[in-house]
Amino acid sequence: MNRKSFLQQSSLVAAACMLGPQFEFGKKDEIILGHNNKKYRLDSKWGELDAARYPVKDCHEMVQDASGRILLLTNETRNNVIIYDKKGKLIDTWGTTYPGAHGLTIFNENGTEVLFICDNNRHQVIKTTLDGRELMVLDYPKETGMYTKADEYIPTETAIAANGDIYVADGYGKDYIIQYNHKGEYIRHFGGRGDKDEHLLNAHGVCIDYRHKNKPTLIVTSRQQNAFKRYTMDGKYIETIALPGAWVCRPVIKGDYLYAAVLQSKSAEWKQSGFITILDKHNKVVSNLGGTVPVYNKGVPEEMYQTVKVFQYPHDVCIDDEENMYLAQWNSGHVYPYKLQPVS
Amino acid sequence: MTKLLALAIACAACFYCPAQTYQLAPPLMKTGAVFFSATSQLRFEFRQPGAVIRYTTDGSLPSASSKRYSGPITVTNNRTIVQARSFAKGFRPSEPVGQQFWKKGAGFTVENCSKPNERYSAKGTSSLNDNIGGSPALSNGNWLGFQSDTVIIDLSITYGKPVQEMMLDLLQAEDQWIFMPASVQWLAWNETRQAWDLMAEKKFNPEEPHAGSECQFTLLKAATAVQAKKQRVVMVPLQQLPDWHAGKGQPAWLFIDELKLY
Repeated sequence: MNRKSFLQQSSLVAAACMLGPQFEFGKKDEIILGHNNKKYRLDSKWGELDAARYPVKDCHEMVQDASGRILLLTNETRNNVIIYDKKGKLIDTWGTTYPGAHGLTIFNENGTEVLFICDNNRHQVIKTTLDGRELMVLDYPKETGMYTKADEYIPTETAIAANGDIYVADGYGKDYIIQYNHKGEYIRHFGGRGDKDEHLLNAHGVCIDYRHKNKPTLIVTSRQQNAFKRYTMDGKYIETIALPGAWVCRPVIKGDYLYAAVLQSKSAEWKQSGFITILDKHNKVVSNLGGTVPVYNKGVPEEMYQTVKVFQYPHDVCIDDEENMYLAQWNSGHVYPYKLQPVS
Repeated sequence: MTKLLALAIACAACFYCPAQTYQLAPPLMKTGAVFFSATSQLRFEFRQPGAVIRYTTDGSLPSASSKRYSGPITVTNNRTIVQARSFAKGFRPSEPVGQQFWKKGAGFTVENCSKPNERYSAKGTSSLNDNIGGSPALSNGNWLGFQSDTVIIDLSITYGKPVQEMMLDLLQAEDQWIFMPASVQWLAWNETRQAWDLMAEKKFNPEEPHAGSECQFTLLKAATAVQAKKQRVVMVPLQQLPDWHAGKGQPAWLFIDELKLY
């Protein structure tokens, strides 16, 4: 290498450094969101449909089935479930009886995929086939002794264990997690409100974490506390994953990472201040899409908040088999889901 | 070298011209005491590389030419309004975020006060001039909450000099059924007449929808300063929540956390 080209190269490096880590834009000048190895390009038109024929209200949750289709759950009773292919093409719709459709979980039951829908208004959890045939309905859990009527129970999410056990998060009711066996028979409940570590406030989501081999645990959202809480599969509290500033929705685990829609920033409540957060396998925040650069101080993240108004009220994310992300939003002007593609 | 510079500029330019222009979110604000004695402080942060915070201390909306924020701001003057916004090339500036600060006023004690609701009774009526509060978090233990026909607060003035202004920090959080009152009156006891003189009065349109949850620093100004030992505040809460509200027809709440005399 001659002196001139060496100088040129080091100047280029210097110039790049001077620019610093800035906002990033892609080849088509589209905004690039996120940090570190988790950056995404946004496609806000992905899920758009003819609103007269296929309307949505709140887009609450999304999952992908084994054949690659993306299923959206909305509380619009003209089509509670909207099924897309990965390119955003409409495949099918069904469901007219879920006015409070909120939680959507998919489970492979001995080779057949089934869905679990939490309905806030019906105060029920409904198990269905992929095409909407009802298989089981779980009413309010009077067996717990904690409820006197159905109204007190407003389930927001389910998680299904490998053995078929059903965990229901009563996230808008009394914040209990209720565990049933695969037949829907009550086993136990835990969580609930209170001032101890094991208590929950707005237990909005629940999932099963298989990232540590042979030692699955439950991760539960405590949204108003801006945290996730980890429990054993039989409901014993293990630890809190503090996420200061972030109203996290359900945890979604794919590979080594945990992804979560953040409904809003604590510093700007009810002002469309949401973003998306991504945690690595040590549950450390590595990226915030539309939010602050993750910074840790003594093992706890510095307060997080929205920095760019790209999203309004993110409510759930779904990661597909190709690592693409889909985003469903609550109360965001009837907006259809977005797609976010990883940038390498 | 010119080439390199051109490249760097071109590179910077391509960084800064997104196809769609997004708005930035406001900076994170952390304030010291809103009601202060000698000085107070606030700081901002916006953890987004490539963006800057600009601020004003005169109540004007920060612009691209306002002072760039570099560290905590000390507040010494009564009524100072500090406002900040985030700016970055290629983005629309954020909405402003800010705070007004109120210096300790004339000394008084609360002689008598309508009974606040048990859930919102703060640390008693002395909370009204404890210099604590100014945050819209309604369960922070500083707010006195009332749901009654009228709220009367009687003050005994311990400060010698005349006062001409009264500031009341009222909470407006209509989602939580907390509305501005229909009216506020400031009265002073006239020893000669043995009757109350009306110092100032303010009427509101509480039925108008107002989003969010905010402290409304409400100022009443008298025509002349007064030295009366006994002074009184009479507030009339909104008696019926408006038709557009989920609790229509029911009485609204009135919340107050601080009262100042200047």
